[in-house]
Amino acid sequence: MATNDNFELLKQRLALPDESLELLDALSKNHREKLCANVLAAETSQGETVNQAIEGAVRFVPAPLRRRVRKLLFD
Amino acid sequence: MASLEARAETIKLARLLGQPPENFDYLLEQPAELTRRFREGLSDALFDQHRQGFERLAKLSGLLPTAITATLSSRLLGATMSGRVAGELPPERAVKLAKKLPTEFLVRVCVELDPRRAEPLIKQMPADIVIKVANGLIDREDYITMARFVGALPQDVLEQTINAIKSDEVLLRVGFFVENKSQLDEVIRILDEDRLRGAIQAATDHDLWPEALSLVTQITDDLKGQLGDIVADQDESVLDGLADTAQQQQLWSAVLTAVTSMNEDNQRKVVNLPAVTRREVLESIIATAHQQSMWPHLLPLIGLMGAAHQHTVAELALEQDPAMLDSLLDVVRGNESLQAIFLDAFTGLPDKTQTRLGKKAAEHLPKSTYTQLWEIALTAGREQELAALDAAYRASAG
Repeated sequence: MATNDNFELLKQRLALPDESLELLDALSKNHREKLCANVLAAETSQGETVNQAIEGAVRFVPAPLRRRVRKLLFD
Repeated sequence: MASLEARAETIKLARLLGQPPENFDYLLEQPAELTRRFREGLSDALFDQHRQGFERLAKLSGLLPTAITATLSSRLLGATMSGRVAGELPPERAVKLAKKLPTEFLVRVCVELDPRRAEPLIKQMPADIVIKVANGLIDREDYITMARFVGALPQDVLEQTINAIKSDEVLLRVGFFVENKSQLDEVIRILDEDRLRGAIQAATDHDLWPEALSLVTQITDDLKGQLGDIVADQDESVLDGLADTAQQQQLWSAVLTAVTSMNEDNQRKVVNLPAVTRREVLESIIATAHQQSMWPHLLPLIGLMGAAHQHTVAELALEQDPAMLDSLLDVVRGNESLQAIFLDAFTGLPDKTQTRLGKKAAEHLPKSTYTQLWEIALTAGREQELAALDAAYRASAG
């Protein structure tokens, strides 16, 4: 039997407006869970890609300046 | 069958999630509007979730020379991430960067860009870059992405881009996917009559009548009339093809809207086409008028039909679900011109046909429905013209 695990997790992790949730309400439980699983996977993957991109981008900065750039970006 | 709009929305959502569209086939049966609202909310939420990261990347790119940022975008970030960061860059810097990037990469960034978020940058993008990207999207047959940018482009750039697109078929396909339909008017007003005729011809040549009809229903009345008359100007064989498509795909609501906007000569031409006056087609049209509350659209058109076709409509009206005739009578009552058209369809029938229909009405219709019909004839002082029908009804109903 399908549970609402992904749906509940999605609501906790992403601030979706009520009008956006209407689609999820209209779907069967199975399809809703499937869609929410895809969204959660995309969210995780996007987070990883952003972090990797920042790390990679900092390497484009000349070595002597990297520490200052990191400080500028992250402080 | 899934609507084309639902398919387009499913593709856009699949792109946002980085998945193939077929993984979301279960969304095709949902209203496109629900999927659109979900996608837009999700796009914002995903952006907000990592906003700080995008802002950092944008800030970092500001510290690097444009040429290095261009290398960073195309080699490290890739199109998806560049699309997300682009909206965070100052527009002038984003334009400088775009000039350094290969068109093929810009095309891929464009697919990932959210035009709502990147509007200031799109508004400053020079026409030559926009045209190159548009041509790249045409090569990929990505009309959905092209349509997303229509609303964000300034008028002069939009005009130059449309003029640079030589294929009328492409214009029709893009027009169909434009998200904010009020922007369609803007696009259509840019096109001269030759191009509009070309787009209608493309509908015939490439089986795009559903797209063309969908467009016609969503533009303002003056443009509806202009396009509707161009449609009506086509050869009869083309119009018969349109009617066949409308029948197969149940597009009569769009056709009724389009025909209503034509001038009267063209309306008369269309409603008397052989393909429109077939019994099963008229039955579908009547069902559409009932289900979608379009009697006020259909009745004046019935008035323009030849007598034989009017009689077929009258016969069909008495054969349908009585609820349908009730809804028709509700519309007719109190509206003299519609009432006259309605009665003309019945009163012109030969006595023999009236007698047959009177018997049918007695078997099929509730007394209350028949009474309403009769009262309309009485009010109009035309009861004598329905004498044969009434006599047969009374004899059969006892």
